[in-house]
Amino acid sequence: MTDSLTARLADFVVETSREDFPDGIEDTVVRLIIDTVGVILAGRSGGAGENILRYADAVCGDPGGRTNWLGMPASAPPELVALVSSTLGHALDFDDELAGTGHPASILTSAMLALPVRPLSGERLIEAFAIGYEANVRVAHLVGHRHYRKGWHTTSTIGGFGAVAAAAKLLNLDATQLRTAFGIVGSLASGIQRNFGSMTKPLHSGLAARNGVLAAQLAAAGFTAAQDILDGPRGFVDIYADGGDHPDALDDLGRSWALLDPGPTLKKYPCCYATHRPIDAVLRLRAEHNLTPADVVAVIDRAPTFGLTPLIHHDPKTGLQGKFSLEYVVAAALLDGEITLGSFTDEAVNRPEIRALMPLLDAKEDPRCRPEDPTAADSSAGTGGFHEVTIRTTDGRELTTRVEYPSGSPKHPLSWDDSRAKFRDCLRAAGRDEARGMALFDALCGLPDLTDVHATLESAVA
Amino acid sequence: MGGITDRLAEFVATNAGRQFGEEHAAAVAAVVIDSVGVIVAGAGSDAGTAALRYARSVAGSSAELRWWGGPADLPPPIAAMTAGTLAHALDFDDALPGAGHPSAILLSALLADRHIPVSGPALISAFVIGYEVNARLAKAVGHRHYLHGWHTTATIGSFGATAAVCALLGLDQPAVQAAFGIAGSLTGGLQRNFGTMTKPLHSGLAASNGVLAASLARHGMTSAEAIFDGPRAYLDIYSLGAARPEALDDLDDLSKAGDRWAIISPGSTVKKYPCALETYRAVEAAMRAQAELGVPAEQVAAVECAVPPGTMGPLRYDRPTTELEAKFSMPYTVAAALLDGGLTLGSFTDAAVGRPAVRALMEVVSVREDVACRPEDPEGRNSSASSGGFVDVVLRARDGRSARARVVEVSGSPARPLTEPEQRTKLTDCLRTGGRDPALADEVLARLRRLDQVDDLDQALTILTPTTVTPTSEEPQ
Repeated sequence: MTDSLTARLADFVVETSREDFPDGIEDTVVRLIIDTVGVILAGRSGGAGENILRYADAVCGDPGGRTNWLGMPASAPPELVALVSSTLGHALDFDDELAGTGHPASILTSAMLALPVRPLSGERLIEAFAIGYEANVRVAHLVGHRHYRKGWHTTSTIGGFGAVAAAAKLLNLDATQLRTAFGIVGSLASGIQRNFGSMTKPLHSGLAARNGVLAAQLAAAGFTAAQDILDGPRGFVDIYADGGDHPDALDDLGRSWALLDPGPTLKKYPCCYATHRPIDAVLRLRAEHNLTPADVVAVIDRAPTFGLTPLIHHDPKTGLQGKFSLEYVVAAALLDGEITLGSFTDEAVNRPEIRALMPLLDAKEDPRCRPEDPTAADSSAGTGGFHEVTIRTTDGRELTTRVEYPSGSPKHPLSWDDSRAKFRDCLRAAGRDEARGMALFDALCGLPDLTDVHATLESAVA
Repeated sequence: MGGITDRLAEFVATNAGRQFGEEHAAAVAAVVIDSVGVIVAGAGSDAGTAALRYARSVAGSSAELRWWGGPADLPPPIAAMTAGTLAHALDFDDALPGAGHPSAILLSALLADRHIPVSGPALISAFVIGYEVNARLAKAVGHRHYLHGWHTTATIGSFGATAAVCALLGLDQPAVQAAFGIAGSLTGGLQRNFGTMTKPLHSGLAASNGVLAASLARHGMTSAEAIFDGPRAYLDIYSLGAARPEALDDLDDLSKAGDRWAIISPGSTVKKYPCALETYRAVEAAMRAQAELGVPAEQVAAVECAVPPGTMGPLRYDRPTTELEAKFSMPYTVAAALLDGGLTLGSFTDAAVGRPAVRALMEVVSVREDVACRPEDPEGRNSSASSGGFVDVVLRARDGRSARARVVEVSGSPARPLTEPEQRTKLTDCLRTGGRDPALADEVLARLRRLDQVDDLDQALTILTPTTVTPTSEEPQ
């Protein structure tokens, strides 16, 4: 039993503490948590965020008294707070990402902040986050890509395992209780890609956070469950991934950390990741050559194979469609010199001057742009290879640039200025008090020294 | 004729509020009575205790309780989860072979929101619709789903609960479709968790999923339009490619005619004894043979049971030591029934299992699987472990006499529904186990047998509300 995958993962979570972290973990987690708080605060400006908050209002009623940082009654059940929080976090598709794992940060942050563990210090939050993140990545690696190919949404199905690990850490569950909590979360795992493109996609993130909180609290309340949920025939990995791709996924647990290698991506632009490299290229050329839209006669994008596949809206009419339209984001980058949450309102997408620029784009996939994997057998749309963008000007110049790694990816991490700008954008989109919100940003930069994270969050939004 | 999702959503939306006749009302009343009993009894189980402990730990500050024992101020999905867990905690709720245990899930979901008063006729209507969707989708997802390791009660039960709550709320077709889409991203439940408290939790999760999906859809949450249809949709993924969409073919006829609703045919099997259904026929045959000889248990020299092949599959414990194991033990259930004159919830405690007299009697019980016991399907390819063929028992007394008895239909099955006295006996047993006054049984039965005349079911059940609140000092953590 002690050698089972489930037991090894539980032991890692229970026995690891921040003293075991290599350098760099803490800084990475601080950046991730700040980013996540921003996107959660922004979430109410999207349809899924609006609806999940209306649902929460309806089931909580108005008991009066204190509210939490999301504006929900302080007495709301933790599992409900987690559901709402992480649905908000994924509502704009602006939260972090890790290839193969999905979008863990909102799930982890939401689960931990939903628990009745107060006062919660920044140190404990960071510790549980890093351990939960690693657990999430390891289980995702265990099931492997074949899980995703079957139609499951890894963010949702596997996110619960990370959330339960982080929650267990904060609740001080022992290894037996955590194995039980893993067993429970194995019976909660769900979320299928068929729901992509609907509000149920962000709900998946909320469900993963809820599942983690629920499973950890049920284990704490004395529930029993299988102690070896991940292992063997008709265990989780068998049922959800035919045994998985990487049975050795736990082998170097504690020796390598996904937070450092490959490291998370923080999204710079609130739209499909496949658009990020062409946006970077257009903004770069625009800045380097002081271009205005009037100077441009054509924008030629040569993309890696599969790199344009998700960008299905060539004549977008709504902000949501605009997020999956290369024509639109390129036009907006040329016109506005930036891509922000404000770029994805219905009005912004329908501006006449935008419509005039959209036909200038000529985008094609070209296997030359993905030399290491020309058929994209093993690549996602937003990574691998490069985009080559050429802008043709009215005076006959051809300006070309190439982008391999988008801004926000581990190779080109967001600067603190980028992070501040993103956070401010999030506050604006949600109609929040900017001064107070930016004070929260500054306070969270000192997360490791905070003694009561909830109090800090509440002071910013009260 | 559109896709499966279209048709199911239309089925729910157009039948919502439909008035069903007496036969349907009586069938629903029978399983509602049974579900109320097992939910109440669940408070006397470990899983039920843990579920109530969790519910109290997340509830608001109100001290008010609901009839099933949980706090009044829980959000409806958590109320549904708690009640649904209580319902399955003793493995004593009804069963629809192939579809799991729908009734207690449906009742838990339909009564979850105390702010929505539910009349008897409204409950009957929503219940029949939810039960139908559960039965149909269980067929549509096919048997490979269960063989793969999922627990149908949880996975497919979620859609039955979704349909029932949508019908109760009177959602229109697009909203029902949205609710099904959301539910399609909510369903889990692994058999690996059988034998632990997470098995009854599955029943609670199904109820909770239904309430959550329907209310999110009601509040405008969108989802895939055709969650059941095509590649990488729900049925494809969860059936492992072995879906049987034809199981939904005559749904439209059903809306018109209405005489083949699953609640009537095949209908639920209500459990008479709180143990595995596979033990029932041998238990009853042994008791009949004992009665014929008129001998006390200590005069029994041998009990020889012949059962259809497959019966013993789930009955893994020849010499159980705990109450949970005893529920899945042929020697124990037969011996305890002979010793005690029947099986009640009291037969399944660790102490009862350890009694020397019952241990001694277990030694003379023998079981053999015999193809002769299921002539129509000797290998049991198309039969569940508890049905088909017959069970023969030969009971030999120490004085040399012997008697033989044969039981064909399981007691509590649609062919042999519980009699009113048996129904009353079970409810009384459940009330006692749940810490309620057993004398309430008659009043509960009087109200629920005329379910179609109840104005507000939650109100009608307030007589069951526990009078003493368990002190919160027992909370761990």
